[in-house]
Amino acid sequence: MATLTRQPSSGESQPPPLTFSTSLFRQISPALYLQRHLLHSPPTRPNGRSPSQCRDFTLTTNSLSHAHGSAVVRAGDTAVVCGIRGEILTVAPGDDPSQFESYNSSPTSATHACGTRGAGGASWGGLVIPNVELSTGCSKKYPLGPPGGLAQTLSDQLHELINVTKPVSLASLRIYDGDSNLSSTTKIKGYWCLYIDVLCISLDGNILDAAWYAIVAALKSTNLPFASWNQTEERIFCDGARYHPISLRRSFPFTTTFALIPIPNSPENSAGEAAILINDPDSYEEDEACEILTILSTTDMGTIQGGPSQPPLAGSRTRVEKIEKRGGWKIGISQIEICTQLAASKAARYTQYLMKEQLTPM
Amino acid sequence: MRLQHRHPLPPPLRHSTMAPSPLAPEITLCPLPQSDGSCQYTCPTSRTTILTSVNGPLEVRPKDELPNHATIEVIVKPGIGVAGVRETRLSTLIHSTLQSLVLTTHHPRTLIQIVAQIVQAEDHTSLPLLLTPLLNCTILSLLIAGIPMRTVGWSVHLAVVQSVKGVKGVEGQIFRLEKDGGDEMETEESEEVVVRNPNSATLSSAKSSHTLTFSKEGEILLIESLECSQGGGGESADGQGWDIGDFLKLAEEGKRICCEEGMEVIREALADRKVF
Repeated sequence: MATLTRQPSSGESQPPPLTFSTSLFRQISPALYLQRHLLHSPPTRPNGRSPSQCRDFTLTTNSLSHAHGSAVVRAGDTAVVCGIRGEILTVAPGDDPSQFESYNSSPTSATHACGTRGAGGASWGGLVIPNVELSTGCSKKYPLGPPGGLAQTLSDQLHELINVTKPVSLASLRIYDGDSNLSSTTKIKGYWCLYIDVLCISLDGNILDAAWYAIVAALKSTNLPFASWNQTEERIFCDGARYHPISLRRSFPFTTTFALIPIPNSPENSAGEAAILINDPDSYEEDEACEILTILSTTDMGTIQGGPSQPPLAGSRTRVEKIEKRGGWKIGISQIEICTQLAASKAARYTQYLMKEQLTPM
Repeated sequence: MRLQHRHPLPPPLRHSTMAPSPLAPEITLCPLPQSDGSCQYTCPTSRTTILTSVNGPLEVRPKDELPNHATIEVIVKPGIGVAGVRETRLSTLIHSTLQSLVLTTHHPRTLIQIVAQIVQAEDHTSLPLLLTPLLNCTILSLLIAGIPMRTVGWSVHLAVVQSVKGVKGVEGQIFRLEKDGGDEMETEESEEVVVRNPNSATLSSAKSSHTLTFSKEGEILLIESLECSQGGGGESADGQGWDIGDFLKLAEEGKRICCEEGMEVIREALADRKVF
């Protein structure tokens, strides 16, 4: 480690230490490079952000013309496209429609519940089905081939997020026999089944937050054609001219991901910190992180409407819907509490962006 | 942190007494004589049965070789069908937990292979129901295999249920967390209760599910908490979730269960073996 010291040595008898350019130092010793940055005062990450700062993001909705709803999200060098396509699922006369209308309904076998389009896909995976693809060349680390561990884990995580947050009112996806008399369940002839496809164009860490934000934005921009059962033809027909938005939750929860970078004991580490928590890690930081914490939370809509430029007040109601912490052992309970507050302010910012985007004409 | 148990727990958990605690898991050590370490674990309440085998340190494939660490490989085999996305997720979660427990620097350039077979489960697709038995069983078999570990961990699954009505549980399985505002009456049936290691039926009526894993020293190893209420979604889902304060109380309780009762279970199970 001494050879990597950048400061000139004070002793005259010692040989001059090796010196490297910053870019080389970054390549050959990422852990030390990151630690030196974080131990600096004030702590700054190699990408210029402070530990609790997240990347700026851009959002564009309805850019895909063939999908019913779509969104492109870019946060730093992570870019994600999400397209939502509605497909019609016909209900056979003997089927019980109520099995489609609940999230968390238990499917019968392991292979059918995976959220991928296997045999039986729609009927067992529910009406809202996510799928993730990490496109070839999105990152140097993930080579060509069948979906690896990351893509599979991500796909399952998004499926779980949909089941946890229940974003779409499943009853609003019904297709009835005729336009009138919408109360009877016997008149249900089919359902809209929403296939959510997430394609990662470029991957630079924290794919989950970007993917989930893209899904939420795409759901908000989705317009399905009016569909009804035609009795003479005994088929479902769509009206190509009339579209309607789908019925969604009012307060959407958003995910916020944190990474913990371990700091070993060293003379430079005067404060004696064991680890530093950073918000929205990029892939360089993710490689060095020992612990990942993801919080899914909503902030009350009232606070956002009250003051759009202000962060949510400490007294505002934050509901947590999911916490996932894996790897490592250094995050304490108090840090989870701090992260929840950070997550709440980020969720509020996401919501503002989303509202701004909805207001701009397409 | 004080607790109000609906049914008072027997004072200290002592497995050496004749009647075993109804909450203690059934553990069989070394059911597979050919592997370096193996364990069969049955959750006392949900009856989820897991069989794990640990082999290592073994020779590692050149592709997976790490220059100064041992490679940990976790394979989760489903009870039904072939392994899918859910099993991959389970194995990533177990892998990341073990990464912080096993002293991988002690056997660099080797492989520690863990195979976990789900033998019996009420719901083969439910992540929360499977994760706790998988983790506990894996940790026990790692101890048997003599893999060097920094510390041991224990996992507990807690479900928050809206009402105590209709929830059947063994003694000590159901408890309630103390609220901040004064004493609550025992008769209040609508109050939230926490069910330890719930079964599939209890979980389906639960509001939220929390899988908490703590090390012997009380460090948080894994949290997998999620809202799991049923429903049709849309606006009916607005306002679901929990307050962070409630979660912190639950985490404290989980820590107590893992650090005290969990460690006692490990000690009892390995009583006649010189692994500690």
